[in-house]
Amino acid sequence: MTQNNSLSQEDKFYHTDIFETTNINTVSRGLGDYLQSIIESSKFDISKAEYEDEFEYLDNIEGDISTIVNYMFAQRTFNLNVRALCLQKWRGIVTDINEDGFKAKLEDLTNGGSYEIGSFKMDFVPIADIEMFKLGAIFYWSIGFRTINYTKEKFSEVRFQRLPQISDEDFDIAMDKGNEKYDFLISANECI
Amino acid sequence: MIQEYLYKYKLNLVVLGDFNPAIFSPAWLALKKLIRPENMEDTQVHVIHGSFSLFRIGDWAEIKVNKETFQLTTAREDNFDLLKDLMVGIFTILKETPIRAFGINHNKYFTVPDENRYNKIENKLAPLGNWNEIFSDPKLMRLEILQLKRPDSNMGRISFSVSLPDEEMPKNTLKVFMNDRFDIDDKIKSTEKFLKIFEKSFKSSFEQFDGVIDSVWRKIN
Repeated sequence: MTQNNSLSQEDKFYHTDIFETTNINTVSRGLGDYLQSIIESSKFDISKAEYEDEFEYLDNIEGDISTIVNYMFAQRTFNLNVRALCLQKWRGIVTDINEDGFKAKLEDLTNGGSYEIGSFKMDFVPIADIEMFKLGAIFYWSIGFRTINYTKEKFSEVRFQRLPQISDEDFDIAMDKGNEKYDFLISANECI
Repeated sequence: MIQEYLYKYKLNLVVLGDFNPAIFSPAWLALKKLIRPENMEDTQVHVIHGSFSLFRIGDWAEIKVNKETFQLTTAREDNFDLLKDLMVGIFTILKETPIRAFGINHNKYFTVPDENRYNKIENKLAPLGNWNEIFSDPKLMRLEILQLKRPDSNMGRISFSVSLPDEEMPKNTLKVFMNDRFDIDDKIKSTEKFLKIFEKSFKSSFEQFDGVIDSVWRKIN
């Protein structure tokens, strides 16, 4: 893959998070006006059924459909009206579980530095994440300010990491690779 | 410190490749345990179609997929790591997806309440005096710097821009944007390579973005 000074159309799409370079003028003016009217009249509350009708209409039109779809795609975005800024963030790993709660090794993601060990009661674990709670589980703990629809509030939030469980097949592959390396090292050692 | 002016920090993760948008739905994410079960109830689906999917998970993330682009976005700084995990989780499951490139896009919005201060910042970034004879009361709309070679060993590039905000914001707000782009040159194991580079580069991308902002801020003050 080479790099050059010019930006391809794909690059332009990619380059901006809102596809702002998509150019409606590449399709016919009439169609552009039609799309614009759809977008203006239905900005945030269009139903799925209406939406599918639009596509049925579009599918029957000759022209650069991908440009049209990308244009509409760019327009249909949620207003993420919840924003949050953190004062401090930690990443924790559950190292011990006992009757009273659990202990975790904490990494300060904001200021860095050495690890700390913290003790927590079980009610620290959000009910929604209880299935992820186990020895070795990773969680994120953040404190800061959150703004929801112009209302600012302090928050302290804990979320447990969610990653797919390793499959039996992947486990076998990893074990095979490990065994291969082990055998290689043993045989290399014997040669010496 | 410029951080005192920070109004909003939005993270947008973009992957370029070949996708089947219809796969991506809240139910699928919940089935794979990549989101909280309660988030499935709390999800706002805008559209799930063969050509693209767009929905919001709870109040914290937005997923937007078409046949060539996959995007995750959040404006909650406390969930940036969750967004990374969601990306890793999805493509660990969809490990055969052809991926050509990905980007870690940082969007910081700084609001400077003092008009004079705001004008000074604008003027330092792009000396507007050069334009006074041509335009009346010229303003900075967008300034963009491109680095065509990455500072690490990966393929890709970095671009940095300062512009007017692209969404409703308080007066005197500037958007500072960095597109940290990585190209994937392995066509056989592209997903594996993507995940490896993505996980390794995620943290350093934030350090780099903050480093650039601090450096520019020092120069203009």
